[in-house]
Amino acid sequence: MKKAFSILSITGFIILASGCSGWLDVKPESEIVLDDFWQNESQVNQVLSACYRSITEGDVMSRMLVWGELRSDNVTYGRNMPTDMNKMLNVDISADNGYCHWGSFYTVINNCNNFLHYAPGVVELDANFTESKLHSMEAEVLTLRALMYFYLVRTFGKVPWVNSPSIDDSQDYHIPQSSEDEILDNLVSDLKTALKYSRDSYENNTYSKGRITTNAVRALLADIYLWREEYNKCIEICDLILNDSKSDLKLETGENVLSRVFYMGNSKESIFELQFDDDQMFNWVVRDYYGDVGNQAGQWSFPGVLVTGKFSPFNYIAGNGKESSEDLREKDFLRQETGGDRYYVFKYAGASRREDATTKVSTYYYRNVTANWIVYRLSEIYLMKAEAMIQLEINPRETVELINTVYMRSNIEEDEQGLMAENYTSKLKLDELLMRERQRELMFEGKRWFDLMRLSRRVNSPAPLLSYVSKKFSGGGSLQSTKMSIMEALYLPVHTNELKANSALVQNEFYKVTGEE
Amino acid sequence: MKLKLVAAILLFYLLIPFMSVGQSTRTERVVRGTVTSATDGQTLPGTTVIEADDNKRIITATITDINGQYVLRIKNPANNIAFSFVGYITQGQKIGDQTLINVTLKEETQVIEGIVVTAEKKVSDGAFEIPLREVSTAVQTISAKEFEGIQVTSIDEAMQGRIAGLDIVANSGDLGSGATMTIRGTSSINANTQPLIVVNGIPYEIQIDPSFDFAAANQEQYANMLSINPDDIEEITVLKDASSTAVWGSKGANGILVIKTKKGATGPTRVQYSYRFTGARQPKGMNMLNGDDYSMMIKQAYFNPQQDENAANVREFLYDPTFSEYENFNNNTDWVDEVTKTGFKHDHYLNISGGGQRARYRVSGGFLTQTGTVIGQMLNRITTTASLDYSVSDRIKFISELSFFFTDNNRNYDNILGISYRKMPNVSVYQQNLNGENTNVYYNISRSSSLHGSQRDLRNPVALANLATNNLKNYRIRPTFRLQYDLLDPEIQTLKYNLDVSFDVNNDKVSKFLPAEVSNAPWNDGAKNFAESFDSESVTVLVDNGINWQPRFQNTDHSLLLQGSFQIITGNSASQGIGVTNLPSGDIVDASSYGYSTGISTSRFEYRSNAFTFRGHYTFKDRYILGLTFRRDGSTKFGEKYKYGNFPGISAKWIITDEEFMQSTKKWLSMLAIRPSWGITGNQPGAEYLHFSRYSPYGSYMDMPATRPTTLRLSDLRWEKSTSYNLGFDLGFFNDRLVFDLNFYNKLTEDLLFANLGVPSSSGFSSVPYQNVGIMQNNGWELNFTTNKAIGGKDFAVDFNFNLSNYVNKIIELRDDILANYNADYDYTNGTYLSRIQEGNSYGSIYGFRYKGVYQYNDYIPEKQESAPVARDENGYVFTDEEGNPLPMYFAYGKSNEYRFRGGDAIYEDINKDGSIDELDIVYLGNSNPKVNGGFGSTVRYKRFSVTAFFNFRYGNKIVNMARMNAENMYYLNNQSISVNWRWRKDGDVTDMPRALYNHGYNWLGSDRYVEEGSFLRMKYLTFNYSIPKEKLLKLKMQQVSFYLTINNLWVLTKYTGVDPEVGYGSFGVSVDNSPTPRSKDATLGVSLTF
Repeated sequence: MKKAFSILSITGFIILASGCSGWLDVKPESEIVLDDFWQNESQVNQVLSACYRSITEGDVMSRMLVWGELRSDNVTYGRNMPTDMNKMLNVDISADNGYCHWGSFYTVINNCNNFLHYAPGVVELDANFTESKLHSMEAEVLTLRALMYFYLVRTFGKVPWVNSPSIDDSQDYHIPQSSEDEILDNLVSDLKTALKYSRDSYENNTYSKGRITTNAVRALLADIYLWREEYNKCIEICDLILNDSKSDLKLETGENVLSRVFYMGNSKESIFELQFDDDQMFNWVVRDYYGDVGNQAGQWSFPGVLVTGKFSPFNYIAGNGKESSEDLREKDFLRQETGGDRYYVFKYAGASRREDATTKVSTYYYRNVTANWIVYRLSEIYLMKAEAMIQLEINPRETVELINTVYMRSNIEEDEQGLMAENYTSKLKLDELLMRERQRELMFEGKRWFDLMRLSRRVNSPAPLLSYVSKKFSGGGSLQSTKMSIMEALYLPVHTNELKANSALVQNEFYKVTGEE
Repeated sequence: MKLKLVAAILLFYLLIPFMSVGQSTRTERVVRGTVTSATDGQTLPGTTVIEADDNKRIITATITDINGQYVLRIKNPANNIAFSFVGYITQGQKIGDQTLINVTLKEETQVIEGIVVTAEKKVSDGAFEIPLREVSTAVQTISAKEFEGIQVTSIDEAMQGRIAGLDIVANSGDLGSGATMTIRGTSSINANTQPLIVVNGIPYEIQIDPSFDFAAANQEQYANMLSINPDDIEEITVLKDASSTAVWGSKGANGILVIKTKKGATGPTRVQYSYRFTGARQPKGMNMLNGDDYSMMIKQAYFNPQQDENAANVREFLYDPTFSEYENFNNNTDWVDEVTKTGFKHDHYLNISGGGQRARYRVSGGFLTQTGTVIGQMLNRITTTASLDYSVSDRIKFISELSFFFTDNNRNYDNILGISYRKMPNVSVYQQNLNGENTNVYYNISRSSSLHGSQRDLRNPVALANLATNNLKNYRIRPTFRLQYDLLDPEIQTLKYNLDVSFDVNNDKVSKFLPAEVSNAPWNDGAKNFAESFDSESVTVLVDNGINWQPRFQNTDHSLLLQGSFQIITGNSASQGIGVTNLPSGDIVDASSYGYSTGISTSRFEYRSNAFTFRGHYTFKDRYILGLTFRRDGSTKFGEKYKYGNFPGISAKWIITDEEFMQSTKKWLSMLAIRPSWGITGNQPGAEYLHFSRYSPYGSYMDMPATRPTTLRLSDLRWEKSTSYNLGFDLGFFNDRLVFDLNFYNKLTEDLLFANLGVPSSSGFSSVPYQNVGIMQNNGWELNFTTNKAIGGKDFAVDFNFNLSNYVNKIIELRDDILANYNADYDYTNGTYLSRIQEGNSYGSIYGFRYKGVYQYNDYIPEKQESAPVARDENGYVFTDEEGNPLPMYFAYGKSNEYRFRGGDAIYEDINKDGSIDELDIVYLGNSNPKVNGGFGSTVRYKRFSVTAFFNFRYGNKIVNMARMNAENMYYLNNQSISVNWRWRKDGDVTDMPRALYNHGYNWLGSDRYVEEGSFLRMKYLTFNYSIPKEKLLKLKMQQVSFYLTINNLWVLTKYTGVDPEVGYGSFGVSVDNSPTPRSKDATLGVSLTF
């Protein structure tokens, strides 16, 4: 009887004990809940790291390349291209194309928003986490977020502006698009804040290249000014970078560009590059699109018609001179298919190229490790400044000199004269020179489509863009040109699923007509 | 409220010590004596002598020695002494002052004549037993006796069609693939729809991984029932209305299956052994083309789109002896025949049971080994159970139940049968040498072949079945301990305390290996020598404290039964998976070996819930009955606001025939009762931790470790809540020889759970795991009819049973964004049906084009060639352009995939007469929910011989026959059914089968061509049973010997053209037949022996 009693009292106790509601609060074992997070500096660091890391996701990387490069005159079909990409390449774009998904960018933005919302609160909880640490990290995060938005704005025109973290399903996520100007205004003001607190460098070179530095903020800001056609501001910012005494930014020599800048990474001329490594995060996007040792033919290739012929940026006859007759970049960044007529990408895919001094035959060595992805590097800053000066039509001689800085390091033949100002006497000629030089220097770096977009935006017509792009299509690209007949057509449509999920969104006018009923 | 009850329970505990006051006087003393037999006067060695108190609790005990003498040191002279010996009548007496007690035991003579035992049949919903005639809710019980002799591996197979309103559809004929069960229709869009299974009062469920998708119908989950041996089951009760299922509150919305297992019975030890042998054969499926016809068809398919001979010059189909692989492409291989075979099953079952007054036990063991009807499948199962009831006294009882299950299931790596239907029939199974003789190497089409990848890289199904492994091992241990204690003397009134503690340990281990020999993949392909291993483990602990109170009233008109209980469930689950590929050889098949890792995944979670339940059952004058149920459930699955849910139920019954004014009809109307009931039940989301915003580790950037926010907090997530009304009638005629049970119900499910709903991705997330989004309604009725010795007498009897049910499902309301978000746009591709959910429509609706045959001619010539692809107005007049030329018929006119129809193409009805077949021509084609389904059967008994037949049927449902679509589209290189021999080949051909078009055209759009009537009548089984007369067995010292012969799935009567019209429900509730392994036809021979 006593035993029974004790059993009963124990069970009675269990009833009482379990009656407390705390018993039903079980927290996950392999994750941390929000309420327990944001307690110390280390957690702040981890979310900062997540902001960077989420940009290295394939979903983001692939879009940076596809949005920035695919539709330009730099890319044509390589091998085994996915259907959606192939459709976009042929300007057969509908709102259900997978590359019209922008969700992965907003995932980065949400990580940034979480950081910006919660990190300030940690200052009070963790004595080691000082205001100054917070501010310099905020500068990094603001810049990353701005970079994401800048991509979105350039690709879609209008996008929803979200600057608060998504925590709860009861929040209203049906956010309408903001105009391009509204968003860019926000970005400029964010970047100006970032400039106040950003660091000039970090403890080691990898960090200084892999994280946002003052010059990275400046480069992005200069890029935005160039896009907004605020050329004076652009020049001002470019000068800050070019004349920055605190940094050791320097152009690599032409022979070393392929291996130092693109193969080894974190070169002297790099301003900001996304860091990949074989263990943590493999840059499969670059491998798939450009190739590597296991697969030397990537999904993309360079249009054969642009390697030779009158539209080619190489061997270009300008006035009395000839540009790029022996340009290292033609040999280093492209490789003709053995026994075929495709020109596959060697930039990023290659480790080095050796040229036999007598036979002039090159041997190509491919990379077998993952590639970093360069967002900004010094040579682009020269070209940004030159572009702004051309638009302002000031000092053409200095402009050519700026371009020449970039040009000369890759044209190292003894008889090379460099670019002569007298060959580029009109604004149009300078414009074209700049576009050629940007193409030679920055091909496959996710920039070209936006370069062409700037051309068209200045005249508010797709015509200039089409004059470049149509050349890569067989038959002159008349079919493709009709699908890019108005400015709206140059922006991508909002993905169908996105329109369905968010009733506040408005579809791009152009795609409303052809894609939707 | 809850506190008061807890206080009341505590008060009971406090009273306990006072109940044993009378025991305090104790003096130890010795009693001795001799026990002799009254029959022959011999002493009885081994007689049990016990001292027991008034509650028959054993205080001390001993056994008589070889001379029949005993010495017992007693504790209290006020106690009783009792003597018992097997085969003799137990004797007892007060001890008092005696020190020498000699007894003579009388032999038990079992001459019992004409004793009629009338027992009231009781129904239990797991813990609460009430007499059958007083049941006021919608429940149906079926005894396992009904299935005697039927061979089934799991009980759900046997139950199919037996319970009105319970729809069971086997997932496939693959071994261990389980069945999908729904009670009273689908009441949820994509949360769990399986009923809760309760075994002996304890939920029988494995908490599944949150990443599990219910709509994807992962077979392991549904094979849950596999780990209960049908031979151990005594009866199954299905709780259908909310008033009865409210007892399980938040898990009750899908109905409940209460399984009661067999227990030991008082009596001498009984040993029963049974063995069943089964042979199974697959029903003949689609007839496929042989190699010769196939090659002919493919060449046409290549030719037709371009009308170009060169396009058809594919060397694999040219039968050109100079082709190096000629011998491998000149065959007539029947792939389906290669992979199917006769399956065998051996099922052994042994049980031992018995017991005396104090203890009863039952131990059973089953061993089953089964091979499938598809090569490479094999299932072994061991089940053991042990149950022991021990009464410490008349008032305290301990019960322990232990069961252990082990299954070892060698499954196919891939859908072998599906591949066999697709594989090119002109290809050989084995590599052939120059003389066309088979070598011992499996043949895979070379990677350099120009054939389309879908056929070129299709794995060799024979190699896959024989060489690849996909093994699932499952261990499950369920120990349960119960204590029952009568707080008051049960003779006076019942106040019983129950404590149940139950554990459920489940372990799954999957090992897979894909060797290099089964495919043509290159050496570094991820699918070469690819090993994977997954382990998952879950432990659930349940503690249930209950008080049952049955007061005795002076006025016997009243009867009351009350029960309160408090239940705690806690559990955790962990799983991990690992995969490596490119292992050096096919001999190393372990995923922990050194190879290229394809990834490691782990997940773990913990959950808890508690519940307070109250139940009351009140009867007045035996004919007015009121039942009340209330459950308050708490679960870790929900946030602060919705942690607890309340689930009430109320039911009543009026037995009209017991009224005085019904006496006159009593002769023929033995039972007429009306049962209204109402209740609320719930359904939970399938994942934990949803109400937290969570951060998880996220690798690193450079050397900086990263953590990121991964989930949205679902602060508003609630239970899915079903409110149901039920109106039931019980009818009995002629002293209950004919019994009807009829139910009408209305079930309204609110706060429908919707999984993975898209959110604007500008939030940074793509979907929300669960949200409550709408209202769904199910209306229906069920009829169940059984007879009890309807015809016949002593030697001859015939009985019938019949059940019929129907429900209408309707979506009442859905949040607007769901309709916009979930209903996909039409994608203008072949083979897809537009799936939609719509307010006011039923779940499971099918939408598509109307198929009108094949254009006979390419060019339209009035009066002569009318059947040609031209646009017509509603009067059938052909549209013409300015020049009088007829306007052609287009598919998706003006879209990028515009296509102009030609002669031999499929005709789709141009509903809006605009000359273009597009989404505006899509119409409603039917629904997958059957109008009625049910079953009927009959048993005929003559002396010791009986025959049972059972049929089940479904009527009025539509099925999308995707298997036929894939076998008739002539669009890929897949093998096709012989019906394509009737295809359109040249102008003027009159046929319903369009022309062959390789990768071209729109001849197999989702249309009513493949939507078929799914009605069927199946003769589910026919059983012959014979038991040998007792007299003949006496010599063999056996009690019972019976023989069985059962034939399963003898025939199916249906218009459906697929192999098996029994197709489950897929996404959007639509039945799509992808031709899984069909249920076999099988025959079983069995014998059962009892000693």
